[in-house]
Amino acid sequence: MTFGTSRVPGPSGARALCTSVALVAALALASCGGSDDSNTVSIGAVLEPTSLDLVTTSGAALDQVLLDNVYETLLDTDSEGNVVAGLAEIPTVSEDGTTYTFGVRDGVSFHDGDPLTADDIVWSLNAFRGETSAVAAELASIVSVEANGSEVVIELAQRDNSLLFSLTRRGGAVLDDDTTDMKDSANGTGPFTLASWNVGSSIDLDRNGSYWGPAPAVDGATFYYFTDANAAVNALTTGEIDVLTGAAGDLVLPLEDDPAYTVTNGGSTGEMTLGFNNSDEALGDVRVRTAIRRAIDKSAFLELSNGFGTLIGGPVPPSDPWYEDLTDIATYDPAAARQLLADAGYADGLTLKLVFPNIYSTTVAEFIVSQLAEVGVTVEVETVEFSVWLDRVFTAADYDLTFVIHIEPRDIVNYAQPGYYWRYDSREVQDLIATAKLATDPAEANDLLRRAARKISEDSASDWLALFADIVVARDGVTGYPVNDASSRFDASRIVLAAD
Amino acid sequence: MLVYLSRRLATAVVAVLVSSVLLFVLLRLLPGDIAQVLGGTQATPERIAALRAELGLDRSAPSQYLDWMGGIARGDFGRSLLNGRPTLDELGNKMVVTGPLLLASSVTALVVAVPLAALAAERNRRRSGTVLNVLSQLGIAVPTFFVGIALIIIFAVRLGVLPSQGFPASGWESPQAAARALVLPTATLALSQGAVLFRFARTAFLETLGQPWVVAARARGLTRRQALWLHGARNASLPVLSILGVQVASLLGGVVLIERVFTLPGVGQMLLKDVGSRDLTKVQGTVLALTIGVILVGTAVDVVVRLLDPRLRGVR
Repeated sequence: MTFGTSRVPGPSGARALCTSVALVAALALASCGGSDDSNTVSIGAVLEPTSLDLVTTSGAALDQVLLDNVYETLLDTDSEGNVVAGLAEIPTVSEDGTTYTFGVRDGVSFHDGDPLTADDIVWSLNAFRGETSAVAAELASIVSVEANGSEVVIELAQRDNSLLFSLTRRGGAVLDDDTTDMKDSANGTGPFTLASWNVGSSIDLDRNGSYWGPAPAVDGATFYYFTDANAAVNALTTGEIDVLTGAAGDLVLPLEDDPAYTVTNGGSTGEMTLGFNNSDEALGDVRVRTAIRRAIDKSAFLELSNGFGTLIGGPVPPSDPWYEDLTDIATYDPAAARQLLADAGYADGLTLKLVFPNIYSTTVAEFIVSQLAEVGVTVEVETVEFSVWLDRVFTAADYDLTFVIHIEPRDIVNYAQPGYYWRYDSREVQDLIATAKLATDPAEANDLLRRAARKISEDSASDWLALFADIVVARDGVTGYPVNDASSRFDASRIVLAAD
Repeated sequence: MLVYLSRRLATAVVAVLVSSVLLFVLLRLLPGDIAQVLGGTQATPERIAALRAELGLDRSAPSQYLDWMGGIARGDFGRSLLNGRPTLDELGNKMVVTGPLLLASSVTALVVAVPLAALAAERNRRRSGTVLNVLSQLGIAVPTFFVGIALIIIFAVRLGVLPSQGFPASGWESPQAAARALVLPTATLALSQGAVLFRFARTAFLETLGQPWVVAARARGLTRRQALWLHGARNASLPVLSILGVQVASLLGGVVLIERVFTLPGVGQMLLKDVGSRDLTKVQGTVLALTIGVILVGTAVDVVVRLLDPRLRGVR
């Protein structure tokens, strides 16, 4: 028994099949014969920027790819964290600390050929302190910025100890003064130019042939974005990427013992914060907040990510000058936690709602649920999109518990804002932080911030599960890549690829 | 025919208008907005308000809707509020992944389901026909994402012959890797689509088997199979074509799920991401463009079926 094959399949099927084969072949051919990318470094990353507009778009994803690579900042930091000259000289500061004057580096030009002038810097600083700017708060003490010949003069309302640091970051990035729209383009002074952005998968950078400083060793850098942690590690092991930033701790374990890869547990400024709604009835009581902190075993938490991460015990990462070890405050002790809850009138238990953004692994939520269950606190988890989180938790404070990795550096200042979503309102902390900003002596400022951090931890304003480990994995033969805060800033200009 | 055609086109326009209103309203019921997403965790209420004004979100809903429709009428499907790119360009870029997936799964479904349906019809009430029938029921009943995960476990995890997820970072520059990445997603989509197609095609074939001209063909000495293919196939193709037109819509829904399961950077993933960042002008433009596509395909199929089938020509 055989089929009458000449009639199978039907005519429409055959035509469609031919069309699809032809289409696939055409697509394949059209994209074949691309450039030889052997000296381009491929970098894997987790978060893709939503827009390239450095002024309005908040978030570390944009800083990671554009700062240092495409845009450069007025000031810079050396490997020890000291502020050094960038596109501008170190400013001279007036006696009263309110006037900053600095010269501009010579011989620098933007990617479109425009030379860098004092006017560009004035324009940029004004853009970054505008009302739609993501970093306006960092530059809030500035009242005016003016060009005086080849120099720039910044006037402040009052002394501001954090201004120099802010100018080493996005607030100090220099844009061309005729920039109109930079959502989808970039015209900086950096060692790389923006070549293309394939939204949803990658951003291509090319070496800037007329860069004022030492030319990068690589011809270009491509940032590939992975929404899935497994796919990212796979891309590394199949050789599609050379360096992976923001790698998942539970997935890189097999690579640690593999000589073909280097795994670095990089430092970060990301406090993994269990947020308390301090304006809640139950959580308004410091005993309840402390009980929750004492019920959570932070060492066990670190084991979830194979030990990657650092215990902090407060809102300050070890890289900040005012860091102090606070892990002896509210240590793990479930019995003490139960007692505190009983003292606060919750001997029969307490039910709290944990609003959990779906961008983080749900194992964190499960861990919190199981730890708090042991002391009689029932946690109902509601997993939400990040945009819903911003609306409900961040804006409206409609939550009891929540979890966010606060990656912004030096973000202790958030605890001085009673309107911030934790609704933590401590006059003492607000005064300490405000005074620190005005202090004339840096050591004095650090001391004030240290005291603020201790007070915040003693008040259990939040719980800090750990400092997030910014894990970087590179294949053998790649050198010169940054390892600290690599998800927030990734200077690709010093990367060297060994010849295969 | 002209009357029919104009009536059919009028229906299509009304359908597009109704879906545009639904889409516009539903998207605005979502909590959160793009100004908050841009602002992130360092934003102040003043900054959010300034961003809203800059993005034009402070205008009234009816005026936003009218602006949008005015653009659509001129063929302008809007731009992303985040990166300023035209919605249609981005849709086109993502079709590089989604297009081949849709086409390959439809073709696979057709090529597999129709001959099997003919076989099942021919073997109606015999054991093999019944087995095919039960299998197709199963194909309809099991959710698409479940099939996807099952295929991943079998072919990627157990056998290790195909990639479990992802698409090569270099896209179609590595054609082999790109094609391999699409095999399991295609199979998953084709399975659910093919099962439905099989049911309809089988019924269509069964119907033609009882027709007098098939009986006449048998009387001329053709075997049951020859009669079915020579005389039945063309008649059975009409309902199959109709159902294919209807399936385009459910296929697009399936693509969103499948691209998620297999982490493919296509239209579905793009939509999920844009909804996540509340880039509503882009989402509404993308979905409306897809809706128009589906409605056009449906209309075209209806017209073609009518042209092919002489019995329908007199009917209004």
